Amino acid sequence: MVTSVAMFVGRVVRRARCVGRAGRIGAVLVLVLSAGCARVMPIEREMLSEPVMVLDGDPRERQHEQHWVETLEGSTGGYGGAAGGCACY
Amino acid sequence: MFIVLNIIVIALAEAFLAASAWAGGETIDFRWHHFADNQGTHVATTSFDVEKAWAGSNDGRIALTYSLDQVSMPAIEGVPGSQELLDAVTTASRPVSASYQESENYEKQRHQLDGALARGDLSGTFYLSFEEDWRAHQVGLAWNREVAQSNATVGLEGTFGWDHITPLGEDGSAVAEDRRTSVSAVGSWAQTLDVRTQSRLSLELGQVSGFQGNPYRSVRTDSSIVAESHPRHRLRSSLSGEILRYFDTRSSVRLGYRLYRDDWRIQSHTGNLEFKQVMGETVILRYRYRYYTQGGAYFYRDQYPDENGVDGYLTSDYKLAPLSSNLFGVKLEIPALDLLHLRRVFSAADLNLKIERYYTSTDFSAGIIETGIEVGF
Repeated sequence: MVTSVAMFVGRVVRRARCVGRAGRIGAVLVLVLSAGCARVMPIEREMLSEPVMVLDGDPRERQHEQHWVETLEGSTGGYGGAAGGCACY
Repeated sequence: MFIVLNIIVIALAEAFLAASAWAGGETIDFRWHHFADNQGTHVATTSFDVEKAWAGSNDGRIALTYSLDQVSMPAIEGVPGSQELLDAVTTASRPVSASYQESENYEKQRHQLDGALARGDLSGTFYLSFEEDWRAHQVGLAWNREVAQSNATVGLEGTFGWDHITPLGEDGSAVAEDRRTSVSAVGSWAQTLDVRTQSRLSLELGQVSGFQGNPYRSVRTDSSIVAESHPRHRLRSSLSGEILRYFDTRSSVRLGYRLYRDDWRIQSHTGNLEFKQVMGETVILRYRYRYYTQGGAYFYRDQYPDENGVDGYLTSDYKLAPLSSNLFGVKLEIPALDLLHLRRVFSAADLNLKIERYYTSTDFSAGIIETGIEVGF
């Protein structure tokens, strides 16, 4: 496991060109979002607490969709969560 | 058959619930999911999910989920042992042996067990998947913390997975052995933008090493038929963002985008649009559309001149080709506590029903149906 993690870090560093664009875009978006937002007090959260405003949605549904989508499309990940197995339909 | 099985599972679950002592805020979730495509493949998934408070802890939770995939694929057309069958590009991990080349459907099962143990900001996860020719394992550690007076949440997650692959031969025994390992790291930032808008950004980096093809798939070149061969290393990265906005009609719109790149030179874009509406007091209706497009892997070709392929790699995996897909559907979430007269037993009982349609530019299409019930105590 330690070897795999070390290989992973090494490859990330070596292949920075592959991920650099996504990282730069992400950094810019984080800065834009955090700079443009207002601080919402607890008493102002009525609308944010509505059931249609759950940011995580349904994790179990999302995990299952990622599983079958992985068998049909060439890219996966980006949302976190476990996956693995042949997943072949 | 699947429906009968699910009714039995529901009955067992209810018997289990009636016999158990549960504390408040704990849930049991049962779901049945059916996937059917235009090539005759059916996958019925039954899952059972339990979440409980961690004994002796105020903020600890433990969650456990068991899922069973029952896969049925149609018989391969053609004469057993013919060139056509040898060249069959199965889209599944299906052994192409004489015993499976009859007119009967090929059926397999996949068992999955996963869970999480959470306390405070930390949580540990595990994932196990068992098939007759593939075992997958994964462990993970995640950390989430609310900051800026709960206006933002920062999350970090790392996972390590290892797979054991043993393709089956003519007599059903393992003929080879291979392995695959994966490491991934995810960082996310969720931010409340104003009193009616939330947002989130996630960045994931991952590396997969080892066997990454289909052990049963072959590739027809201009001169011969050879086994599929993929690179044994893959470095992946993806960035996703979404915005969720509330409207005064008790509705919300979610807009999401994901950019993905890897060193097999696949780049993809995914757009997601979702509309949710509260109907009546508590029923929620969701409409959803997802668009996906990708370029092909650098070694993918429609036709290879010889067995050397591209840099020694060959594939007939259509998901490594340029493609696009569309997914749209509707989901209904019904708080059914009063409907089922269960208020004396449960603190919550939610029903859901989902119907979706998926189709790709490669003439593949599928229908997805999901039903489920979640009860709380």
